[in-house]
Amino acid sequence: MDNIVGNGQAGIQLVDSLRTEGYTGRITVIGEEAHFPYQRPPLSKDYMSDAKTPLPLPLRAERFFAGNDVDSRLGVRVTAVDRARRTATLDDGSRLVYSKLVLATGAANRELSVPGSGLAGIHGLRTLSDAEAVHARLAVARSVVVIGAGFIGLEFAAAARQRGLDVTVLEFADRPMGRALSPAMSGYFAGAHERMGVQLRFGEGIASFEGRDGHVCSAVSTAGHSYPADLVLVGIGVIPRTERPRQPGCRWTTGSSWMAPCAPRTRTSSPLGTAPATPAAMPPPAPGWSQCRTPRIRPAIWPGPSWEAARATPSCPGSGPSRAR
Amino acid sequence: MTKISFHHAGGAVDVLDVDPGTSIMRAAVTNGVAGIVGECGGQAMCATCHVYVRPEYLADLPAISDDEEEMLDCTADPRDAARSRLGCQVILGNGLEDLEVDVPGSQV
Ligand SMILES: Cc1cc2nc3c(=O)[nH]c(=O)nc-3n(C[C@H](O)[C@H](O)[C@H](O)COP(=O)(O)OP(=O)(O)OC[C@H]3O[C@@H](n4cnc5c(N)ncnc54)[C@H](O)[C@@H]3O)c2cc1C
Ligand code: FES
Repeated sequence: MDNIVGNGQAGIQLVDSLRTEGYTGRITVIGEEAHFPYQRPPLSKDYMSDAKTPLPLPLRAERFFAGNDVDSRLGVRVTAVDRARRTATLDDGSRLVYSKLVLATGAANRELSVPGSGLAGIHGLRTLSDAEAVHARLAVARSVVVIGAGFIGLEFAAAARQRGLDVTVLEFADRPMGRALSPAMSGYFAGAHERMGVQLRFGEGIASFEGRDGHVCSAVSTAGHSYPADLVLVGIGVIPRTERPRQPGCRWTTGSSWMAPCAPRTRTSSPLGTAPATPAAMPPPAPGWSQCRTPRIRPAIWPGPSWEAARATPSCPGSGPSRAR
Repeated sequence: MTKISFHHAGGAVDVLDVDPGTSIMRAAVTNGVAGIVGECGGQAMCATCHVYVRPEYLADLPAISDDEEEMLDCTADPRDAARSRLGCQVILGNGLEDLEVDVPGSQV
């Protein structure tokens, strides 16, 4: 039996590619989130600008999973992998035996650790549960502060502004989306947001939050300015969820976070483990982790996981044109 | 409920009843209609939800926005001057209670 850990874009694309290429073995997908696999990109866009209760967009139709004989275990997390015994332990206490294990665990939001960051009303945005909480808060909030002028921060800022809220974005750097865009493009997007009425504060990071009755009421920037806030959205990037492959003896040959210029392989040093993609924008996780000499930044966007997952398939046993769909 | 029919090459048809307010793309993706991808999630940014609307329904469609216009020049199968639309930009209901589209041979 194969197990795929992570039911995000990469995991589900891999299932699709395996079946399309004729793989007939059993496939089990394990996903920590209890939700049916859904697309993340709309969560910072129409999902937020729509005042009505929006519906998530599925990654695949329900019938895809039944029709392709996929066993989905949702709402459970893999807590340990025993490579010698080829078993994965789940947090419900059960244990699965695998013939091949694919780690498609994606990324988690980087968390803020400034004073007050535990106050209610301060949210990240990655999962559908995050989005539901933020959407509910938007209905009653008046002043929004966004930490970080990256893609998600600015998309959310625009959506909140469209809904008539006061929106201030704090960004430590001197321009938005600086990691991904040229100065000219940054300027274009800064202008577009300012014309909507979004207040952009460059060169100002977040220093602390102030609260009232346990709920955030203002954000204090590193420049000492205080901005009223009854909703704070933190969009300061992601870190790859590499807890599992980081075990002793399991080293990535090409950390996918910066693998692009290296050999187009996505396998771990473990003959049993394949890691299709862990999109991330961060420095190398540990010395010696990747054989790539030069760390490269990989944008944490969608096409990466799909392509990596599609590329990971030929190495799986049993794949081949043996089964017509 | 509104009705949408997806005609595939070879003659197969998927007929769906969906709630008003649903886009062609969402109807297709949610129900697993082959040949409609919706990779950008409905942002008029990928053109993988391209459809050819059958001529008898063209008059009922909403106008094409600037974003959609630009993206329609990036479809994998050739754009049809009259019939090509992005499925994510056409919302069913509100006067568009019944619609038939042809699914292109490729989207990527
Ligand atoms: C709000 C938002 C907007 C975005 N907008 C865009 C956009 O417009 N364009 C674009 O290209 N990209 C966008 N992205 C990025 C895109 O969604 C990601 O690149 C993509 O989701 C990554 O897919 P993945 O499968 O690698 O990881 P993930 O989507 O992170 O999926 C991994 C899954 O694995 C599960 N998991 C992790 N560890 C375990 C474990 N131990 N046991 C069980 N399950 C586990 C996680 O719960 C998760 O569901 C956006 C992301 C967000 C959050
Ligand atoms: S879903 Fe991407 S353009 Fe329609």
